[in-house]
Amino acid sequence: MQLSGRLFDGHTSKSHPAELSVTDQGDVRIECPELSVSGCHWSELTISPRIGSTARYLDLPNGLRFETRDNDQVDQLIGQFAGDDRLSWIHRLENSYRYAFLSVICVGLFIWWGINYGLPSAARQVAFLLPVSVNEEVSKHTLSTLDKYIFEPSVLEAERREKLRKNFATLVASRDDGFNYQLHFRNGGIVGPNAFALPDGSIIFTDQIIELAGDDEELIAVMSHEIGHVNMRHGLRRALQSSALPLIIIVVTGDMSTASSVLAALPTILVESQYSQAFELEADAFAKDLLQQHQHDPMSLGRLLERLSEEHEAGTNDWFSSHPPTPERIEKLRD
Amino acid sequence: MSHNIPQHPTVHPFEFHGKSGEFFKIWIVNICLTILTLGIYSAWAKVRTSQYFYGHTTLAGSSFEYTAKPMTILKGRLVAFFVIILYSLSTSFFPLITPLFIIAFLIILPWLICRSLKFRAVNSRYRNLNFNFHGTYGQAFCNYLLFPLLSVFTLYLIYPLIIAIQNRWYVNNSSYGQTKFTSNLSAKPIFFACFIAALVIIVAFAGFFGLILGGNLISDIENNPLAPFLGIALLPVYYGVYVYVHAKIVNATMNSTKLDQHSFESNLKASKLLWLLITNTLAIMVSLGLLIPWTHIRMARYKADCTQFVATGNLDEFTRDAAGHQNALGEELGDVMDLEFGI
Repeated sequence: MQLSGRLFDGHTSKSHPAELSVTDQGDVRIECPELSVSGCHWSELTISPRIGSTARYLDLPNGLRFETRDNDQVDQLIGQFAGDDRLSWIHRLENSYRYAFLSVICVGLFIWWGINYGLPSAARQVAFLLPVSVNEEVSKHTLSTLDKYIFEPSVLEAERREKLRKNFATLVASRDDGFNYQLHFRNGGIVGPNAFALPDGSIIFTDQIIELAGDDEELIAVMSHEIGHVNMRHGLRRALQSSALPLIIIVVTGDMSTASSVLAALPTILVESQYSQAFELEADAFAKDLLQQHQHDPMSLGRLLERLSEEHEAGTNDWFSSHPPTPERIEKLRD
Repeated sequence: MSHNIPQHPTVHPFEFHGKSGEFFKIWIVNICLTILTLGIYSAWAKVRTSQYFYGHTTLAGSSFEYTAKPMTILKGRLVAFFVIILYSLSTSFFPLITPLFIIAFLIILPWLICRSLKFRAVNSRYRNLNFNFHGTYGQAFCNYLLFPLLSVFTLYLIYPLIIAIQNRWYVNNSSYGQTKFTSNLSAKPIFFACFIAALVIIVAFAGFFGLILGGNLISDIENNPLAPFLGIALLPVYYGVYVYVHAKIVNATMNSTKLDQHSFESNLKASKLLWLLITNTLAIMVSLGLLIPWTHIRMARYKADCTQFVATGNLDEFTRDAAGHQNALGEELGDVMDLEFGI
């Protein structure tokens, strides 16, 4: 069999047209008008792997290199006279539209599974394995930062605070999950009516949400929801999930620069808002259980959610929103 | 090389022969195998992808070759992977550590730059001779940390000069075989490009806000829900300006580069590059990523189409330089940190 190509001596950049012929026994002879080359056996050659229709490089034992585009013949000769054949299956996969189609499906399924199940459950596992003190590290300076830039001191009368603190204490009295639950009151300023849970167990009520609530039952419901965020380690899980996302984008696209490009921004926002919605529903379910344990009505959370959504007049798109739509949440509390 | 005989230069165009369909299959199989092997195959995928692009780029009838070993790259990737995990975990949990990380990163940055450039050069081959890079830590430290830092005091006005110094350093320390590349890049075209860019941005800003405030298009800017998104309207301008400056810098650098007595010609057009970038971005979004291979192929084709090698005399007389071994750590970390060096 004959292969045509070019020969390079490895010392200069001169390109010599050459023919490489192989006998039935595998003896290689090179005919090059400009260089005299001693023959060798096919098994002594080092052959580069086949990649698309790019040229193959056959390294001869004496440092010479033969470049040829006769890819099929090279593969046939490898099959006939041995040589490094271990990676040839990769080219067979890469050369078929059927395997390409299979790969598309495989990759699509992986992305769908990874986003919906793989990453969230891995983050949950890790978050529950780590000691509670890790959660405290996550939010060490959060409250003081919020105090500095956003919150004002609360103007709520001491009596009301005391009453709410008592309710809160009853809720967390029997909890032995290792968190140090504390209720804080702040004037929310631009944040308006809202409640926050920091991963270390600090729960912050704004004066505005206390004003908004119809009765203390509704506030107890909000406390339960926020305790749910703490107990389920949502802060830590969020941190774990968002630090893993870029890594996954790198693995999937195989391109390091994609992860930081504009193109990665939109899917990342979408995925993170999905996660955030899942956390809200999880905290709702937790609150429902806790409220029933303490003989409260879970629907008081629904009533407060309704007030909040009237206040916000939210017309935001479900896909981008960090909270699930209120009717859906109320439906889940009712069941 | 004899300078006695006057020679007519021959223009050799760079050619790129990659095909979208063929590359699509390689790309998707690479991703699939990478997932199935939990990322380990990514080193092989990188080598195969690079070799696909190198192998389909030809000059004067010979192709380029990417010779890095997947195992070397895998080791580098593993180290990079653990550094990133360490970084992202510790900065989310202990934000106070972040400055330490930044300082450590700045200290190794010049080393990363040199290793990354050297690794890529040593593993690029043409006609069985490899390229090389000889830049040192100290030079990289000055060019990429010290000078940019000092330029703060000039309000970044001398930044174009620093770009010229960086590119000159890159070219002057590169070689093909024993033959050195040389550059007499002047900062003038870069200054000019940056000046035009600054002018366009200022005019666009002024016009934009004039339109909003004067034209009463949006009367109540404080309470308008669209207000935070107004900046996005200027995004095409930033994109365009970035591409314009990039094209001018690449052209100026290539056109002032010589390899022995041979030279290069590059005529990238900002308008065409911008068109490619915008259509590529849209295509990727519409196709949910399936057109990514197509966008890589057409970008590579356009860049090759715009580049020529002007040979004065014979291309056969370059000779070999003994090249040492190199590990991939530098390049991989550089890749991860999204450092794009060279041209």
